[in-house]
Amino acid sequence: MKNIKLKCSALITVILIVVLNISAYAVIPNPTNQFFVNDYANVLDSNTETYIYEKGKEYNANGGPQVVVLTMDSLDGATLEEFSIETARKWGIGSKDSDNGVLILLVMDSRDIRIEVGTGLEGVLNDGKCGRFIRKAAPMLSDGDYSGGIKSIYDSVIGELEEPTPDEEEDDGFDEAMAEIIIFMIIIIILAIIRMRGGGGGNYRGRRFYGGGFGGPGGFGGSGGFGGGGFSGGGGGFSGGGGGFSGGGASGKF
Amino acid sequence: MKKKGCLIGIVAVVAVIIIIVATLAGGYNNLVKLEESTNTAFADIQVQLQRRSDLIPNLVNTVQGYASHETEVFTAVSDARAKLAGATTVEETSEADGELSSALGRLLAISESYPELKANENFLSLQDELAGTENRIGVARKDYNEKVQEYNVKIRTFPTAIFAGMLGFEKKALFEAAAGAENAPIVNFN
Repeated sequence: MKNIKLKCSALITVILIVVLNISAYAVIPNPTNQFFVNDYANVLDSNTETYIYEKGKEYNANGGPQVVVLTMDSLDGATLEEFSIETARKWGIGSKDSDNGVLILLVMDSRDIRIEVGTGLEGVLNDGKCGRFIRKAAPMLSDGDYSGGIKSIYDSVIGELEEPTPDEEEDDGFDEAMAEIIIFMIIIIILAIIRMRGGGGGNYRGRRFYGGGFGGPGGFGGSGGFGGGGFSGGGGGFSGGGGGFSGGGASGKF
Repeated sequence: MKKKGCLIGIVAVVAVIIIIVATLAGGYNNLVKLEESTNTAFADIQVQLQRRSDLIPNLVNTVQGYASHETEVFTAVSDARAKLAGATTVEETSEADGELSSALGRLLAISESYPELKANENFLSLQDELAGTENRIGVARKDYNEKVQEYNVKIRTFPTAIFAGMLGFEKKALFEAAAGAENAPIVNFN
């Protein structure tokens, strides 16, 4: 019964999305068998493609984030942001649990570049950083070095995911980290005092407090993930099953 | 013989009643779910609107550092921001959202005449955040409108239409696009 309901709603979603795509947006292509690299505009050299594909596979095997590159000749009138989020949702980039997908989209005719960030990564890959990566790569892209530009953005994104850097100018992140450390230290001190007071017999009490566990540094902002469509055509079986995207990331021109 | 016919009749009536009740209950539960999903979607819009409101003081401060005399734009931004904070209904929110978007557009346009501001990494990063948030608002708005449309269709079609009105399921307003906010049609469902 549940199964049938699920299937029905999946079917309806498919139909709705197909209808919506045809009426409102350009038709969204299916991912290639390489999934992580989809060079429909044919501007990337094979080294770059292999590099991205191998890296993507490696991350995929470890259950890490999925970073997908897509190049298009044209969006046929669809807006960059709409096309990019529809594609990210339709392809099911990132896992459904952690919404950890990233789509790097290059459009040749409008000279647009966009990094679409899944809701789970918005804290690490915030819009400001994405904008910076794009500005860093823009000169290369303008010079026609698309492989170099895309590789630069790809490496920046991967690097950021591996080792998040603090925000450069606006040091909000740093303040938050400091606040967390201070709160953590205060808790430790309070616990230590309680423990000391509890002294001899109070071991049990102290344990209980420790058992309460720390919440750990709180999750990053961002919004609730939308359950994107959990299906994809093609994609070589790499689709993460549909990480949520809510429009985070940055766009730029080159 | 007669008794048996009577029994079959009763069983049939009971069966029909059960089927009707089950259908109605299913339809009702579905409606509740749909209504909740529209509420969630609206909350998502509000999260993003709040996020944008939170970005504004930083942005205004940065711009003020380079263009302190452009007071008119700063006033417009803070007025629109206050209006959005005071909005309660979907219609008010969407209208205030449109005003704030256009005021922010003018604020960003100022930067064109201040090359130093334009090159300020902090300003660029705030600009990215703002653009990203505007885009998130757009996405949340679209998701909300899709949910509302599904809900509105449901309460007006058979068989849910029979009891939707009786049980207080009312048509919900769409969140109008910000671009046409000045001349958006006045939404009134009463």
